[in-house]
Amino acid sequence: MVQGGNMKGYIVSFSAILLLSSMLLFSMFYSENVNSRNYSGNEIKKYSKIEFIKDDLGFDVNKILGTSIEVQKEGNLEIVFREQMPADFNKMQRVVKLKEFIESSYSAINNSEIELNISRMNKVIPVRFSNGLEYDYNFDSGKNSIVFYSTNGNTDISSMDLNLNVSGSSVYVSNFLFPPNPDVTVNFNYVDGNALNEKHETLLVNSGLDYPIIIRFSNDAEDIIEIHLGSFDAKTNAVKVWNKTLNENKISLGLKTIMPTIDFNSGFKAFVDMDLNYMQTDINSDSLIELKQFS
Amino acid sequence: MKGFVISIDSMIALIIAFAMLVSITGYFSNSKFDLLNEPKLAFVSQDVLTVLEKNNKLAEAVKENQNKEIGKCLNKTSNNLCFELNIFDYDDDSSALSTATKKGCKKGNSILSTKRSFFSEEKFYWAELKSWYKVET
Repeated sequence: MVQGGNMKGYIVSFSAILLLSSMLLFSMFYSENVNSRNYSGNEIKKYSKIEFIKDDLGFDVNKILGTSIEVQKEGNLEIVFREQMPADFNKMQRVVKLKEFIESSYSAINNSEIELNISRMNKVIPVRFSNGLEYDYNFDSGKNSIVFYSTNGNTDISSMDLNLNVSGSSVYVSNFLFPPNPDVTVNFNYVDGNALNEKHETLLVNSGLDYPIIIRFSNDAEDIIEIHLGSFDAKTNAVKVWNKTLNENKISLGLKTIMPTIDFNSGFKAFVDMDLNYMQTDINSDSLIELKQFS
Repeated sequence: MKGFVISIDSMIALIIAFAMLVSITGYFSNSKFDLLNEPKLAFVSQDVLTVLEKNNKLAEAVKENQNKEIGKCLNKTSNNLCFELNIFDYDDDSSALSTATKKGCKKGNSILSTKRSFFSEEKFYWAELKSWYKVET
């Protein structure tokens, strides 16, 4: 009888210990799980803050540079650039001001150390695409130009629309050429104050040869707008519009390039050639300023 | 003697059981999923600021010196969230240029602050969005 009572006691004690131990183990596991989720939540928050800051600064850079870039994919890859040459503002001054803003106030309000390296932007603001295409805005001593080319060789442009609306009146537009074996179609639309020089032409260009167009605004040989299509300056199948006018006539430029052979589906992005270095406690991120991601 | 041993034994058992119960309660009380609400609130706040900047609402607020449009956008957000947006000038951030608060929101206890810069009229500004979960009264 006593042995039976002892046995009962053992069973009750053992059950109680088992129950409490299970509850303790469960609570420990639960607590650890919650803490790890909270930790993950805070880690995600940290990384999302970096992405948020990159997106914020990318949007600001896009806005201050004033170059409109649109990408469309309708069978072919189409990139449309819209630009004022010269711009109504000093691009480099804006970039320098942005650098000051980021490295002082912006860093402070975000409790981080953020640096913007603009040292490579000397007389040129390059927009780089993830597949090697590049759009450069050059501003060398009042002579503004844009060049669209590929760092990998050929841009693969099959056709383009080049629209120029220029202030002032031209006195001469060079004759259009007829190169052999043309493989690029250019819809060229040119308008300025002289209605006689207005042009709406479909030009046939050989992508391996230089196709220059010169528009003169006075008898001075330097007072010109110089356009190059095709291959020039070691660039293949590229476009260059160079505003050399002495009065800095304003060019409203619209350039639509169509490239059928480019693979668009592998995360097509555009960057400006400035380094953004972000540091906050245990996180360090160094990347180019991303203007846009096209998907 | 037997009674004494049984008493000591039961006391030890009670102490162990009590300690285990206290530990269990402690673990459970410290395990709050509430902490995850902060990252969620941070994501929503980042989204709200991004939308306001990309829809040009922040630049318009500075340009037109009014915050009605921002207020309208904030009022469209989820009912359980509260927002207050302040805009500051980079050159003089001593006081907010503009303040907009979501309708029906009273200041909560745990306020999160998210900031986004924007460029307008040749000047840099930054917008601070204070956000918190609505406290039901």
